[in-house]
Amino acid sequence: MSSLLTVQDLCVRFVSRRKTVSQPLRGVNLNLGRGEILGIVGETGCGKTLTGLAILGALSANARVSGQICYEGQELTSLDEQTRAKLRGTSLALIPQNPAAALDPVHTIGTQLQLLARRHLDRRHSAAVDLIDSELAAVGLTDPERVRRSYPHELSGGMLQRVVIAAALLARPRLVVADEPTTALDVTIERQILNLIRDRQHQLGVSVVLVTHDIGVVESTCDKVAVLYAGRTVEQGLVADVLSHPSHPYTRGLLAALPRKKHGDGPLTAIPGSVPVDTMRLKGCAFADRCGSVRPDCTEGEPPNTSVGPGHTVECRYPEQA
Amino acid sequence: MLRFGTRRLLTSLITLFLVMVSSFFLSHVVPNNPALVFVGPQARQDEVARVTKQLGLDQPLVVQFWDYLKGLFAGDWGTSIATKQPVLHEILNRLPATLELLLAAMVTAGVVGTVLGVIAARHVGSPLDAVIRILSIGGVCLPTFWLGLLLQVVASHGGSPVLGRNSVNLQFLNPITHLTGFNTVDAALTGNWPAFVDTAQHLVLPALTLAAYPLGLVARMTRARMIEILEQDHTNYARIAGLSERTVVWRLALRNALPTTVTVSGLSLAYSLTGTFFVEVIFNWPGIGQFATDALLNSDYPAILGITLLGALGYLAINLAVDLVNARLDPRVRAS
Amino acid sequence: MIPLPPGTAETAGQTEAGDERAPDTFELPRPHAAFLPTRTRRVIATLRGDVLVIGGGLIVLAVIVTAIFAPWLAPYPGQGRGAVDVAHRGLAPSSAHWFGTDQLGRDILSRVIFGARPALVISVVVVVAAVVIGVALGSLAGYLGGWIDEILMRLTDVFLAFPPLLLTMIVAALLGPSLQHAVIALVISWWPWYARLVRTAAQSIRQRPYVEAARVSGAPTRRILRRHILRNSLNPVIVQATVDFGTVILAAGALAFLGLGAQPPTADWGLMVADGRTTVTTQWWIATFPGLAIFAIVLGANLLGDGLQNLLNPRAVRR
Repeated sequence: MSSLLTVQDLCVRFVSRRKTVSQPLRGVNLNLGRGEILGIVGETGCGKTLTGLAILGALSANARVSGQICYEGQELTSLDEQTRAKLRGTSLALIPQNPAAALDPVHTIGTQLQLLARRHLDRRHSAAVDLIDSELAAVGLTDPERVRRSYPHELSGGMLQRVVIAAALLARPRLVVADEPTTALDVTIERQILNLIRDRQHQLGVSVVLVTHDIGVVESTCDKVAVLYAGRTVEQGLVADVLSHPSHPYTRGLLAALPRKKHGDGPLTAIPGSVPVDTMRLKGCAFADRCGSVRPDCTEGEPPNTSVGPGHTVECRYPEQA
Repeated sequence: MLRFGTRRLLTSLITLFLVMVSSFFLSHVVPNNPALVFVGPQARQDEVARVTKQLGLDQPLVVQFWDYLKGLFAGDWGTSIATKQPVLHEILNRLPATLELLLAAMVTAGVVGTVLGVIAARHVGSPLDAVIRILSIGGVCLPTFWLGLLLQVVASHGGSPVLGRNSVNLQFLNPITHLTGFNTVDAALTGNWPAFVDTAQHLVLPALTLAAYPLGLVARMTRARMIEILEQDHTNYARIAGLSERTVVWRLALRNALPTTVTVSGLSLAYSLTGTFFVEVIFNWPGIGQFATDALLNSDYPAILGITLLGALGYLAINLAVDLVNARLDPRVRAS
Repeated sequence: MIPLPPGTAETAGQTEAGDERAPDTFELPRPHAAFLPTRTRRVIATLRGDVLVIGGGLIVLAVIVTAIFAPWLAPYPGQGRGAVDVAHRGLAPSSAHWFGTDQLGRDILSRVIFGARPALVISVVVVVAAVVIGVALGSLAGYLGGWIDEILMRLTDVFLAFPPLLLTMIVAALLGPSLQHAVIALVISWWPWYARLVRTAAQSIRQRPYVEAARVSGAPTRRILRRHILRNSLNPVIVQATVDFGTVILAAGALAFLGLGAQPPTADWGLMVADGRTTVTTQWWIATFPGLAIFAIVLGANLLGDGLQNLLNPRAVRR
């Protein structure tokens, strides 16, 4: 399967007055083929959302990006802002985290979708309305006309999430970044939305980067997974491989914290401690001080990137062998 | 929405009544006897007494107030001591001139101020932003009475300044047919182009003078609000979704800033009500401001009471209008 | 000029000079919101970053210095106090009279310099009186609530139901035109703004846990007012008072211009503008320079107020 998106050693620093004040991404690697769903999983603050924004080229002006983001053989980081802007919405799209905040509160859904349709598809008013109605229907909104006439505050969280999915897919992009698309929703609706994303992804052959903190979501929805910790990819591979043979202690920790039926009523284990805040002064493995199987040399130098199976890599000095 | 409107109206009416009570009693504890003003300084003692009785000034204050209230509702706002004309008549006669001036100033200020504020916010931190910021703060700080004179100096080049609402001979050469009372509009409607040019020329400087403060304030507040909005999630999302910066700013974000712009416009319109006093005096504009200044300087207390009432009415009306417009502009308020 | 009502003050004012921002970029607040500078760094950054604030401070300082040292600074101190020199009337600006002379031959530069005195005295008296009355009543109303609050707020409603400056003009006119009456009229129409400002702040502070705690532990009302409410509602008052320092001068000038304030032969800026009004197209200097003085001090006070607002209100400062 040919690769649609390859991210290699992606680093993002924030600078203020020519001084680096933080480095939230310190080496992210991703690999995503056409029509695949890649889950990016990790705790709050590990850089998941930032990775998504970096792919879209939507970081603030004081962000400095290094490394490679290769999309369809095109190196995105070397493109000028204008060319990247043309890709946004047409080739790359975002499903935002909190649609209630992402949609403009004083314009109707119809107005906002029409602006997108006119921009990306060059549709006239009447044609755009028909298209929008069919797109809204495709994401399971049964009364498209009413939705179009509504303001965001008049719709439920689940409906808004469907609206932004429709908006993202409007111009038939090839890659969609879904940034924690279900955090604002109930569990029952979460399932519906994830199924919807899967269905639409399947129908349209689009690739999806699904950012989530829930490894359970990854298990049920994704083909591939990349585990992020403190701004680095610590483990990646096919979901089946990584979840059945987790090699990084952090991945194992995430799985142990997940309640699941088939493993019986065993106690859930939390990972002690929290994500390091200041990643600039880190020496060695960022996970060392929370790791259950830490050894003295873990804090000396960065851990090597080791392959533990086909397409399954892990960044740990002492990976759990399958 | 309806209940909200009714409640606002009710509190406004109560405030208005209190304004009337307080201004009436305030105007009747003034040290100098209004009858003296009425008859003039050389009048004999018995004449003063006669006029005091005629004006009802020998009655107890409460009785006088009751008579005044009854008069107000019958359309009798008292008689101006200085012009010997009914106060309401004077005010209504002069209202169109003042409204024309206010309207011209506010439309200019609202449109130009909003556009400048948006441009500054869009290029925040740039030299253009700095220029607009300085201009707007300058507009807010310029004394109206001084700006009017400066504009006269600049526009006249040492000749005589353009004063009044029209040239003296206009009524003979191209008389205006009165429809709305706004000379420029009437002239345009009736196709009276020489009159339109003449009245427009007379309107430009006073309107600009009056527009400086609202323009500065609108630009400044719109800028501040737009900076906030341009950093909000929905604006960022619109950009990431691929909309052009122009669409994001002018089509989406600006609509979010409009309630602020409307509020500030209303606020500065209220300020401009008193601004007309100075502008009308300086440009010899035959409106309410001139009448009011004369009344204030001559202790013409029936006229002062009339102006007070009109001012409070106008101010309350503006505030009410701002609330209602904003309620319509915000879909979240509109629904509730 | 009106004091800006509470809540309309600019919240997103200055951005630091040299800020690295392009107009066409995206900013998501969350990822790097954790890097706010400390208080001291912020003060220095604001001061250094904003030339305008420093300019404003310098203007205000210059006016104060001018007022104090007027007799030594003015080239014709006697004329600054009102002495006339009819032989030299209506002279255009020259090396002998930098700002020219008025219709009575008085040196305008000297009179502008002396004009700083009444301007300063009026504004200090009015602002201090309005702040004292407004803060006292406002904090009482906000803290005690109930019927006291209700009465006070309905009272301020009446005062605030007038277009700005109209109430001042009416009161000044009814009392009779004089400087003292103008000052009284200004105080009467200014204090309600402060009462409102402080009341809003006091009300929100009253709900805070530490004030609740003080009340429950039996601290006397007077001490709670002084220690918690006053101290914490002071910031908006300071900002407003700074701006009003200029605004009151403008209002007093406006009153004098109409003949409702200072009376001749006082060297009052507003009065001097009125003097030059009728001949402004031929003798532009008579009205221009005193007006410029008013404009400068109002501008200075506004710029300084903006700067203070950003210093005292951390939320208004970005990054």
